[in-house]
Formats: sequence, structure tokens, C-alpha cells
Amino acid sequence: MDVIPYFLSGLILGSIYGLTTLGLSLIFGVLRVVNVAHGSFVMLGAYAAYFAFILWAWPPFATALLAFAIGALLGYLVYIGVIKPLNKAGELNVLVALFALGALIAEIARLLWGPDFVGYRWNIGSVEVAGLQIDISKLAGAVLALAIALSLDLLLRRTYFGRSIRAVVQDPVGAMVVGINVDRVFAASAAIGIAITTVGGVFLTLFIPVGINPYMGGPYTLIGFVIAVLGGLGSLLGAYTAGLLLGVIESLGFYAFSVAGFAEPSEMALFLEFALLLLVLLFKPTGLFKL
Amino acid sequence: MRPYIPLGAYLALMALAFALPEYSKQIASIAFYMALGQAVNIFVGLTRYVNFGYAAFLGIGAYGLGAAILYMPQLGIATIPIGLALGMGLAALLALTVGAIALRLRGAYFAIATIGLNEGIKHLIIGANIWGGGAGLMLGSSMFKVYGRDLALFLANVGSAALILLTGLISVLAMYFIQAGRAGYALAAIRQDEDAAKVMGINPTRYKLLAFVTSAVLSGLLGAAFFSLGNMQVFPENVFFIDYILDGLAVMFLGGAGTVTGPIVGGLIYYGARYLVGIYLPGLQSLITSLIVFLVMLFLPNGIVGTLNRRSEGLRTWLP
Repeated sequence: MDVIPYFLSGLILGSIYGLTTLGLSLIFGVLRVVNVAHGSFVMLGAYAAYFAFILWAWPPFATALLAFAIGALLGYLVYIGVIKPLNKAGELNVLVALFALGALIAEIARLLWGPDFVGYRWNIGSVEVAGLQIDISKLAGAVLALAIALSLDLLLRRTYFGRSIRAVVQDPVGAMVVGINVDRVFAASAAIGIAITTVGGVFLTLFIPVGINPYMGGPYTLIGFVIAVLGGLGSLLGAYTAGLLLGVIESLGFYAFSVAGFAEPSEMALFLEFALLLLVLLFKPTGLFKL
Repeated sequence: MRPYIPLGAYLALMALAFALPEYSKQIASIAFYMALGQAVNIFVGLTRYVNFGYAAFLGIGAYGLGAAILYMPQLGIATIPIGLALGMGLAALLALTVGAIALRLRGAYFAIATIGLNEGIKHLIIGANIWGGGAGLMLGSSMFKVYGRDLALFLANVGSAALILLTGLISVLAMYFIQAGRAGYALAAIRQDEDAAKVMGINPTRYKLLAFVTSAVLSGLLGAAFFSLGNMQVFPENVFFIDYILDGLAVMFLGGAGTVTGPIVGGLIYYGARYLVGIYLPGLQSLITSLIVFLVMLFLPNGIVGTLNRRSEGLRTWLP
């Protein structure tokens, strides 16, 4: 069966999708804000990986630490500069401002780094699994993504900081009454959320050797939202699991569309994801998993 | 509300397009921004929900007219009304489908559904190779053959400008009639408190859907007038372009969301700003646009007309 390699590669890519969406889900879960600038932070992470590799020969996993720091700083600024002042004015204002911010970041990236597609290849060998040659870099990325998802979940369940986040999610006013600094929890969640999104962008470059571009964020925003809704907006492990699922659906969809003779199977796979989003919103808007 | 000044502005520009056909392209560009903001405003301004996918309606409307011109040339001049009806019908169908699903849900979910809409439809057209797929529709030679050279050029210049202005005018009227009737009260209640509105026996989904479909149909008409008729071509990468979403938001919020004069004022200023940026900072138009939207949201969320309207009763009546 030649479906199995597609399934496997979908699963591996899905792990990265899941990682990328954790940030989106965390921010929605805590702040009740949809980060519509999501794709642009993925793009920033991808460029970080590219430049660190080209200029300093950093392996992407080292760049991930740098990207986390950059993302955390940006996330903090987004909270202080956009979400906090606009939240009172209403959801519409926050969403539109974030959308414009995402476009602004993409335009600044184009100004600095040009509109061309760039990329790099980090070759550290490959292993054969079920007849499929898998790059070790991709496999390691997928495993590391799983590890990050699990540790974030652990952080939320087992630490004081995690408990204060969950308290704010359940009841912001109640959390304030028992002495939790809600504002700080919001700021930290935005910072961690966007930091993880940026790290996801770093990992993603392992899969798109020539796909880094200022405007690459668009499809990843769509993919991120499909996953976040599939997993139940705000649920972390739900998002990660839905990421795996979507990776497999995308990969098998690509396979099915190319067998069916479509000229652009990857475009059809993206349409399939959008159709899936509408179906989930129609039948189960609270998500598929209870995690 | 007395919408005579905004309606008069569109009629005056329309007369100008007929009187000075050599300037009709410039008039069409200005009018495009006004009508875009106006059409977006019907949904966003009346419901305070955000639609990040309306470029999809522009595109689908353009495809409706484009397909009619290219695939039904035997119909002659009737291709235009049939194509416009087809474009608007497709836009309505798309809006009904997405709206019926996503407008049952609250703001965040709806925003998510629409942000994928534009990309989703674009990928369907390219991926399934519908209507020329990624290569798009070239209408020039077909229009010359069907309408004759002179009429085709007149339609592309003056006709397109007039139709764009007509879209703006209909949008003002639509906004006026929606607000004047029962739907206006219902939407005002929904804007203030959706749960309370529900308790009062209002069906929020129905009125949100009314505003959404109206906005989508007018966006479809605008897309057909601007791309198919005016540019004589429809490219997927061109019509499903994220920048039009930012343009519409910039025009609407600059002028004032929920006002009918706002998009006219916003459209004029926005066109002027883009024109100047094009001369002095070429290549930075999109950067400036996103910066404008961002700064307006932070510092002037009610827009120019919206802010002025809060100052005086007279302004609110005559510049609604």
C-alpha cells in the first residue's frame, strides 16, 4: 500500500502543525482573543531559522530558543500595545487591529528581506520507516514538538503559574479576588502563546525547503484556525491532537486528489481544510476532543 | 437620518464620469474604495461582527460576469445583466452558506470562518481548475468581439465607473432601508447585547444573515464592475487579494463604521493617501494601508465622520 507513507509523513507534519497551533489555543483560552496575526508570527520564526542557518550555521533546534525569546517579547508588546488598550472597546476593534498588525509585519518583512522565496536544507541523514525515507531532522522536529506540547500541558497542570492561568480561565474576577495578578497572567499567556507560534515557524522550515516568504503566513493562519477549532478552541492537548489529525488529512487528501487527477492537488488539499472548518463549525463547534 | 448628501455625492460623481470620460478611470478608482468601504460597512457597521473574507465576494462576483462574457458570447449585450445577476447570485449563495453556518456562533468563531473563506475559494478555483484555474479569465478579445470595439471601451471606462458608483449608491440606500425598518432596531439591539436581544424574541442569526448577504451581494456587484468590466480580466491571485480586505477596513474605519457618509470621506482620503504614497514612497502602499488601519483602530476607532457625529445633532442628521 502506498497510502502508509502519506499517512506517516502527514503524522510527522501534523506534529509541527499541532505545535504551531498551541500558541493560538493558549491565547484564545486565556484572553478570549483570536490571534488573527498568527501566520505572520509563523513567518517570523521561519525567517529566524533561515537567517540563523545561513549566517551562523545554527541548527534550527538552537534557533528555536532564540525564536522563543523574540516571540515572547513580541507577544508581550502585542498584549501591552494592542490587546490590553482595545479589549474594552470590543472584540471587533481587537480583531481588526491584530489583522492589520499581521499584514504590517508581513509588509515590514518584505521591505527588509525582499519578496522572494528563500529556504535552506539541514541534512543530517535519513532513516527508512515502512518503505519511506524520512529525514532525521523532520523526525526529530516532530518528536520535539510533541515534547514541547506535553511540557506546556504539564506547566499548566502542575505549577503555581499554570494554576493561576487556569484560575483566570475559569473566572477572571474570582482569580483577582484570591490575589492573582490577572493582568500579569494575560501578559504572560500572550507572550508564551506567540513565543510558541514563532517556535512553530522555526520547526516548519524543516518541511518547506524553499517556502519561506513574507506572505507565507496566510495558509498557516487558515490551517491554524482549522486545527484550533477541531481541537476545541482553547484546549492545548486538543489542539495538538487535532494538528496530528489535520496533518494526516492534508497528506491523504493530497494523495487522493493527485490520484483523482487534479492538476493542483496541494491547492485542493487547502480547500479541503477550509471545507472541514465549515463542517466542524456546523456540527461540532466546540471541537472534537475533550482534552 | 437624511441620506441626501451621500446619495448626491454618488450622483454627482456619476454625472462627472459621463461628462468627462477621459477621467473615468480615476473616478472609478476613487469610487472603488468608497463603494468597497460602503459594502463592507453594511455588515460590519450594522452588526459589529468582522468579516475577513469579503474579498471572496468581490472575486466570485467578478467571476460571474467574466464567465458570462467568456462562455455565453452569443447573448450579446445581454451578457452584462445576466453576468451581473450570476455574480451577485453566486455571492449570495456563498454568503448564505457561510453565514447560515457561522453566524449562529459568536464573533470569534465567525471571524475564524471568514478568514479562511478567501483562501478557501481561491484554492478551490485554482485546485479544481474552475473557470481557467490559476490562469484566470482574459475577457478583452471576447468583449471586443461581442460588443464591438467602441462599446467595449466605453463599458470598460465609463460603464465600469458608473456601475461602481451605482454600487455605492445602492449600498447607501440598503443601509438606510435596513436601519429604517424593523431590522434596524433588531440589529441595534444585537449590537448592544446579543443575549438580551434574544430574550426579547429577536432571532439574531436572521438579522445578521440579512446584513451579511446584502453586503456580499453588493461586494459581488462591485467586483464584477471593477475587475471584469473595468480591467477586462479576472485573475485568482488578483481578485482574492488580501489587500482589498485591508482597503475596505481602512476606508470604513477611517470614515466611521456604521455611518453612510463615512466611506465616502474615508474613500477620498484613502485614495489621496495611496496616490501620494505611490508617488513618494512607491512599493509601500500595503505597508501604509495596514499602518493606517492599525493606527485608526488604536487612536480613532469611531472614524472621522463617527467622531464628528458625536459632537452635534445637525451633523448626525445631515451627514449620517
